[in-house]
Amino acid sequence: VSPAATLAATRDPRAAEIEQFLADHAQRLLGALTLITDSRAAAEDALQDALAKAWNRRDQPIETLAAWLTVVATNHARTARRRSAAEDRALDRLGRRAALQSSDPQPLDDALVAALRSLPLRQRQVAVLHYVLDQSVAEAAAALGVSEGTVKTLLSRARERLAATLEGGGR
Amino acid sequence: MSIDDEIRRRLQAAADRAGAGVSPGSLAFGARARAGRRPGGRRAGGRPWQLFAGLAVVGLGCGAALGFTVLDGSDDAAAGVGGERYGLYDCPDGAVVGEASPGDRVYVTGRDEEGGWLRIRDPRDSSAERWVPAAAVDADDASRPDTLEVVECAEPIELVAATIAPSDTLPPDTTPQDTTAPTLPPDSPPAVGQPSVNPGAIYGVANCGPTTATLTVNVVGSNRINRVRVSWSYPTEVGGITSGTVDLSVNGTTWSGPITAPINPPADDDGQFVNISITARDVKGRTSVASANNLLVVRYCLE
Repeated sequence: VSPAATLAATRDPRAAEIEQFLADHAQRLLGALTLITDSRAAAEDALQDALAKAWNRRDQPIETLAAWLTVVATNHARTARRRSAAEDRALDRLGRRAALQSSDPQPLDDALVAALRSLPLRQRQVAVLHYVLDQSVAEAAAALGVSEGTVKTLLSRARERLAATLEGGGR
Repeated sequence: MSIDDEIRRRLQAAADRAGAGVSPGSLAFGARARAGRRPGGRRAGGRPWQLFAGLAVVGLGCGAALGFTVLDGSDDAAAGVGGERYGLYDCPDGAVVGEASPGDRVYVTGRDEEGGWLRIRDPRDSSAERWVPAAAVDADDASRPDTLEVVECAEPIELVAATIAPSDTLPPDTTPQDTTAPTLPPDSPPAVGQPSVNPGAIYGVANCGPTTATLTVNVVGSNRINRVRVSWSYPTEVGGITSGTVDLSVNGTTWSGPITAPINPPADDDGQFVNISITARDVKGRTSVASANNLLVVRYCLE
């Protein structure tokens, strides 16, 4: 028995659907995840993992895939970040961290992005779904599996922080 | 331009900068490769990957679930690809227990709840049912898998060899059994035993696992117990406390009742212990309170 991961892709209509979806949305989606995770590499890793799950979810309408992927991928990225933090602590103890650190290209030193990243994860997710991916409150609620009221509360708090940054001249 | 518009414009521009240069093809390829290797199997013997195949599916729908035999293999050669073999699983995410060739035509008899796995008849043994990842099969009619019945994997029963001792090996136990319940001094307040909760974790979103757990506790008293009430709470993401109260039902001295997670996510995505307080009251109004704050975790997930 041997894996043959590429065979189905040439026949599976889901594969073509996802590839088209990526052709249309990959840049914005990956960027949104990068804003949330603060790491392009982590965002790519998380997005690929979420896509792998999406591959098998044929009941997931492609129209809602952006929001679903964002939420799943950010959850994945958070888990990966926790794991990475534990690894960093272990490397610190060994005095090896500096040698193994990697950096992402083009750090985004925008004040608004910094304000976004300072938000609690759920607020960040809601803000990105709403502002970056143009999701309505109802769509974000469906993607997050929470009530619309919860989304409104989270969005309101996120907006308050982001607006304060803008009004404070954050550029 | 409103504040909202300005936030949207700038965040979208930042996202587009952050995502610039991405290769959709590379992403798709990476995802496909990952889809082909699932985490470890459900139990020992499982293969740590998910296999893809060009299995052509026929007989989808209700008719297929009625026990038709596997089609004649004459189509196999025409649809076959190379000499590859693909794994058939005993359960979703389970152990590989069989194999099939690309191009095999198989009957689908059901699907799991999420639709990620299909139950098929083993093309090599029509009496056996196997599971394959849904992505591994090409349906004759792509829309029809959704109409399949949702079925659960039948766990194999593990038999344990045992020998029953002859009846004359041991004398019958004729010791009288003490069936009287322990007694409390007159007018004692209710005595609340150690509660248990099953399962130990519930979810705020239903598609990840159970949303309800059953709390069971033994309560005795010198007077009749007429109410056992459970109050529970846990911190939530949006601040405040999610809480609830439930009066337990009694069977003998055992009281039980449900604790259901509302949809509000807990503050900590890794899970949040539910604070549980149990108040028992007897007919004379005496009460006892017990707490159990580490028996039940409420979790939040999206998958």
